Amino acid sequence: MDETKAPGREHPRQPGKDAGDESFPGMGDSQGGFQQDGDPDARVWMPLDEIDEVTIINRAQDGDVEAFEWLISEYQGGLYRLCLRMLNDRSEAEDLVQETFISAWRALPDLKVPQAFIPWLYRTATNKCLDLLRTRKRRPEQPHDENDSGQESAESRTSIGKGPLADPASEYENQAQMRALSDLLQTVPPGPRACWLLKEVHEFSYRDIAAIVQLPESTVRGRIARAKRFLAEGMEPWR
Amino acid sequence: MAMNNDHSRLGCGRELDEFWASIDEPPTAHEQSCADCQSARNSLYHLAAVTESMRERDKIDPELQPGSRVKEAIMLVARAEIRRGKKTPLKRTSLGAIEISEQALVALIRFAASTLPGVRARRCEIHADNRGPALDSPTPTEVRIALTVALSSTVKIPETLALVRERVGTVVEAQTSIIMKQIDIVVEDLYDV
Repeated sequence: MDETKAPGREHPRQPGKDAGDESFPGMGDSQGGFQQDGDPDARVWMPLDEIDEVTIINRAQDGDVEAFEWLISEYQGGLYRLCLRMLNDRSEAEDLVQETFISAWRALPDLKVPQAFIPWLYRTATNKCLDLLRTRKRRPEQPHDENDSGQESAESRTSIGKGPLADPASEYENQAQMRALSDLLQTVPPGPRACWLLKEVHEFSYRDIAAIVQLPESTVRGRIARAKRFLAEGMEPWR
Repeated sequence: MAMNNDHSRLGCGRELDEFWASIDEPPTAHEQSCADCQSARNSLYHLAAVTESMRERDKIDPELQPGSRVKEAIMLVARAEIRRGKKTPLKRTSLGAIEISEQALVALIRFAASTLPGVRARRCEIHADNRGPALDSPTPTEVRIALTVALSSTVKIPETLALVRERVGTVVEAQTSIIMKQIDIVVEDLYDV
């Protein structure tokens, strides 16, 4: 896996960066490690951002909470957006991210291959989304009573990505197109939608996606192709 | 976009997926003369452009980040469920035993090993005689550990591992009185500086 551009990762990491390049003094604890550069007294701190991810996952497996916290910071955004685009509900998406990481903390010690951790996170979150959507389908939503918490729920289920608009017309059009794609995505069936999101937004390989959704790679390719066709046709009016 | 009945193929029979993979390359001779391919290219190129904008915008859109309560709630559970592991007895006195948890000892070992340049400590297993020293015995507890590490590709491995053993033994003994009877080390990875 390319360390600088791993699937699902928020921020590209600086390859091969080691302590001493950009360090600051202080005693180390489990947030990293500290290093001596020749002089035994010249101890410097090695932040987790500069350590390879397998090492960080290994440390979390051994119960290092700071290493685990780093993994949450790195991957909660991607998982949240996957859940949000699957469920179109902010609070449900947050709940699933929370449940996914709590399951991860419990499962980490027994994970045999640390490199499988990130696909494992996405598999768990995707399964939880698909389960929730199946439950929703079986139990259609009840109309909200005006006096209950309907207002809050309506707010949490607004269209995704209504960020502030910049003033130029092109930016407005760009935003409108992204919103159209986002809304169109909600009409793609959950299975193909998950595959398309994992490939096109989270940049996993077909092989990884097949492992995440536990389907043959050929099925994944077919689902993504169908989703692309549907979305490309749906976006025709915006061309 | 003209499609045939197989939803993964264009009207001209070409696989949509294969078509998508080559979208950034110049049109082939077939594409230049095929209306299905030209239409599909334009549709898919447009979708690719909007998808890319959405992917990059999503990462920084403050509305598309989870609230801070999410991480706080996860960490609350993680801290409440810290796996302390088995306890290793350090000393038995007439007032009671002094023990150290496996988790605390592993953290100390990881810390000690990582003080060396080019060494990143990974996992550590501890094997201790859980009976520990006898009451008021001056004999320290002895443990065996198995440590995995990643090393910088610039270090000399035998010399570095000798330093790791020395450093871990010294730090652990100084802080806990535990004697390292055996330190097995596996170099799992070499990383570039």
